[in-house]
Amino acid sequence: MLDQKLWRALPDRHTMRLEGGGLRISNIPGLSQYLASGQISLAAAAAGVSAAGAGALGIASGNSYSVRVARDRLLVVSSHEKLLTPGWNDQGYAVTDMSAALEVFEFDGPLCSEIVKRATTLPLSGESPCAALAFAGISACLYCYRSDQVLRLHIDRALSAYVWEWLETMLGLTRSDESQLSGAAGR
Amino acid sequence: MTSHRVDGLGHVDRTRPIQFIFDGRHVTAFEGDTIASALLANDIRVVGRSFKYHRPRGIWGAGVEEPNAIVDVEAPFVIRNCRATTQPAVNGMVVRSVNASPTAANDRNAFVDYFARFMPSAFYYKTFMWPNWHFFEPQIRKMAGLGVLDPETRGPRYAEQINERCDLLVIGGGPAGLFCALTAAERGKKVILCDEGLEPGGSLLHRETTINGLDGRDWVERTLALLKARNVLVLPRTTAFGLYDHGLAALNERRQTGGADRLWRIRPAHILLATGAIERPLPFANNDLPGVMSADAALVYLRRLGVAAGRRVVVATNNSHAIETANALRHAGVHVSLVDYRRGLRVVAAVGQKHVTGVELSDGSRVKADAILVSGGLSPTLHLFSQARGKLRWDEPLSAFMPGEPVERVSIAGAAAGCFDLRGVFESAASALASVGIGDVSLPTVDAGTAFEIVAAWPTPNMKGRVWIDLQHDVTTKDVELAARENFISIEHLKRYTTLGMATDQGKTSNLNGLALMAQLSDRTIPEVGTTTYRPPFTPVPLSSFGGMRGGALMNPPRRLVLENEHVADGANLREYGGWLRPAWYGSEPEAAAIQREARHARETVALFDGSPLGKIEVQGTQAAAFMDFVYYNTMSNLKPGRCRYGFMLGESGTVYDDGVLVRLEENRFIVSCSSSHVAGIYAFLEEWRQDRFDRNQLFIHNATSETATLTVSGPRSRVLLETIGLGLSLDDDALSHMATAWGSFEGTVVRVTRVSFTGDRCYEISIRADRAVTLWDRLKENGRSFEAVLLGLEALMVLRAEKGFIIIGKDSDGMTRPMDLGVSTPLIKKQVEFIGRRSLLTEEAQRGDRNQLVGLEVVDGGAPFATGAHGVEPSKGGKRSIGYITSSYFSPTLKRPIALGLIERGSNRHGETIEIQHLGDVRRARLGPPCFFDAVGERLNA
Repeated sequence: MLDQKLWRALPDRHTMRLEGGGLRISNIPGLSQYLASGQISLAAAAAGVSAAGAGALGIASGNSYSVRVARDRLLVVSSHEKLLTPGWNDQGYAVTDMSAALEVFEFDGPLCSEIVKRATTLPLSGESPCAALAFAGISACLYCYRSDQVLRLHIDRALSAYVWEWLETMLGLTRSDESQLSGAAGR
Repeated sequence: MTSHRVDGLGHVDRTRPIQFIFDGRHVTAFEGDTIASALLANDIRVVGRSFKYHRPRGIWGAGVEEPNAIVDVEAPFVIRNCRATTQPAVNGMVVRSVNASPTAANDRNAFVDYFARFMPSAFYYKTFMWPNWHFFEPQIRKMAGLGVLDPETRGPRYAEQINERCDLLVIGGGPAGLFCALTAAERGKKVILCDEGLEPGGSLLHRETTINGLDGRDWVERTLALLKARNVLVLPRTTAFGLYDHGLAALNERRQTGGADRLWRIRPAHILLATGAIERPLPFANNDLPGVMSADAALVYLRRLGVAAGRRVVVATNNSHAIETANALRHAGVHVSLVDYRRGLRVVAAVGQKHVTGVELSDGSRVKADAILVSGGLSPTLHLFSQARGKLRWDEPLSAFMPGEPVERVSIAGAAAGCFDLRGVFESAASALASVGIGDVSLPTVDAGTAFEIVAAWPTPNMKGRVWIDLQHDVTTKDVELAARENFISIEHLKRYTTLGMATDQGKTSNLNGLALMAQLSDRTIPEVGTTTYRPPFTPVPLSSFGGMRGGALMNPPRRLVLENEHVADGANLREYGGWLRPAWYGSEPEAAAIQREARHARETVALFDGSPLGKIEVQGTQAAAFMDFVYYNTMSNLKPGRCRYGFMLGESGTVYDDGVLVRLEENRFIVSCSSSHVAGIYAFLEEWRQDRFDRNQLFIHNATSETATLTVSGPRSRVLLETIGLGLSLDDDALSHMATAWGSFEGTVVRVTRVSFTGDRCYEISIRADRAVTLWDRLKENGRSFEAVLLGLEALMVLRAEKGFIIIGKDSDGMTRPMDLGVSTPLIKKQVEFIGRRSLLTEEAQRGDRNQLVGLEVVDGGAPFATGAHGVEPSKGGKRSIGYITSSYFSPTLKRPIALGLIERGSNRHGETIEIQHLGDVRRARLGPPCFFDAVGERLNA
């Protein structure tokens, strides 16, 4: 039973909430997500989103938007279903439904950049063209949503329990009496 | 309070007394004391025992340069091998000396020192040669060294690691560092300042000076306030321990309350080193006695911590820097004798047994003293500069190595740049700032001070008595002389031969004296001898800092099934398989019984299995079919949409890399259903070949493995169970035959139902959006009760697939297995287009007749299943030789006998032969046969 004891039960996706250090962390279930590769400008036009897409720490907004995850690849995100049709499009792009494949976490608060410093090596100054990066050691994409104080993170659903526990642990560490996070303001 | 506490001096909080225990003794102190200052204040002289000879050792320094006062903190938190000079004392703390038994003051191994003359450098390796070194090594290691690692000690599990960027990283918070940080911040730069001391300020905290009309400490406080106002990140207790490629600076921040240290990875545009200088010891006999201390450290203890190093002290110096120590102590009421080498008088020996009682001088006189405060000159701290590939140059007037040619993106200021007077410090800071593009700097006004003067006082050959060069490693002048006699005259050889400058100390106080002596011994100049290579870390860094949050459940985390909680509720026993946490078996009965039950039941009724980790990598585009032909051993382009085909993927060497089912959904859309544990590897493999020879605008690969859960329904009653679910598609074999796929729906959610089987029975794989899989799984279980459905764990599945001779790549194959070894030769003969690994399959090696080939093995002695890994053996000239091994072995509940698969030499031509199987000395017999033990014609696929 050694293996089983090491791992906590999967968190309930309906009650995933963390607060601390001026941060609110939650998951955003129900978003439609499509991975589009190839002629992404045509895919973006079909979906009604930007062809450039938000890069790392770039700001996305609206109910439907795009995130750039590679030179020829967009993640189209929407609160609506059926934004794109999965499969090969003769215009030259491929679409795969990733709505259930990627868990979306949202970090909200003035100190959400402190998470970025701990989970990534991303410079906080300015937007990077591509939102794909390593977050807490795993592949992810990260961008701001609506403002630079709200971050959205998309990660492989099979590793979402790990990321959640990582975030809980990170918040626990930063709540200590010598917390860099709690003392970050004003430094 | 104690004989060494000085009233009116220091910045400890005298209103808050504390107590702690050192080596069983109660120690009184004040908040603000370090362990070292408290021990000094309590007149505890012997704080440790030396590395090799167990000589009594006292406190030498006041910071990270301390070579002697290494202690273990055992409560209220645990720190191993902690420097007493950098760890604040805490009320209730329990501290023990290291390498001492039972205490530093009364060490039972102190007798070793009486045999010192017989134990020079390299003594161990020359003496303990018979029977071999390792025979003696454990006891020697027990008696030597520093602290002992306790495997029971549990430190903090996780530590913070923070990545930061800035325009300017200032390392060192002395006058140069503070001035540079403030000036840069005022010019709009984003600045981070770190300082390894308990508080920033450096020499200004204990040396009298006036800057812009302010006392040094007041100037520090004002500067820190200005830095805070400009949002400069100031990190006290933080050592920059390494500079790495691309300008990465690694910092370790020590925590005061026992929490894990914090690691900072800073990527600055520019680094400014204001790392100061370290005071060197003076060479004289018995210069390791407790009571011999750095003069600068003594000034720190006096002015910062209110502790006098002694009541009757000798200040011995070859330079002007230590004069302030003498004056300050004298002013504090301490009896001071000054031995100024610049005036010709020198110390010949320290007198005393366990601590200093006096000094013997070069004029033959003796002076009574309880401490000798020495200064042999200042060595700029250039470890980081050297790590940044900076070269050093020798400065004869200062008797020190200085930074040589500038290094890109690294500047140096202050004492680290060889400027030991305050005016020079600020001038060098202005120069350093200019190199960052910050010019027109207004220098602060400082009092005149005195210029630094020094005369040489290096150790010389044939010095009388035992003159210590390296206090931490018990290296004396005689050891260096021995090394020279044995021709270890390269400074790097000297280091390895004598251990001079090794380990945690990294030669902070010893390097220069050692190489100066070697220079004399080998008739070279000091720069000709050169320095050893400075390597990170500058000071020891706890492993927990490097570990960060990678530990426990956060270490190499497995992927988790979307249905995991449901499986656990059903009694699943989870195990890690290929990076996924999966049910191994269900229920509380013994593992073997549960596996047999599940496998037997699956053959009889219907089994429900969570196959979600199976790869689902989409390959799309007009070149997708050609690509599939290229990456698979089998021909795939003629697969019709809606059909599936089993195939191998080979590496370039022709060995089997993975197997699995390819699904063609549409003309230009395939799904590669690779092995669960190979998904990441196959995805990278496909992407690599896509970019190698295909049109990147016509071929795209998406890993959608996590998008769908794959719920598998297998067994003779699988179809009737599924018909009760209502998937919106016909399950007739004509409409959905074996190796076909079709779309349906479940409660409004699209599902894909595929007829593939890894059990050999009729089987359906239902792929459904992962976040909607729970409802379908619950329905399958609920309806399955009527059909006596069983939940199938992975271990039972292994039994079922082995009955059918279905292989697991990596288990039933190895790094040598070609597809022909697994009985699949046709594609190599008939396939018309190129594919990965083809050329390798045509080599003589691949076509060898005596290759190991997949076979089934039957137990012929009526015994238990063979051990997996047992070898087939046959007689040879030398005794026996291996002719292959067993790869999978189980007891089949269906066949009611053991079965096994193996890779056996010429196996496919030896069906019916009996061979010997050997395992751990036991020899049994097995009959070779085809790998498939059950339903060889495949009737059960449609039963």
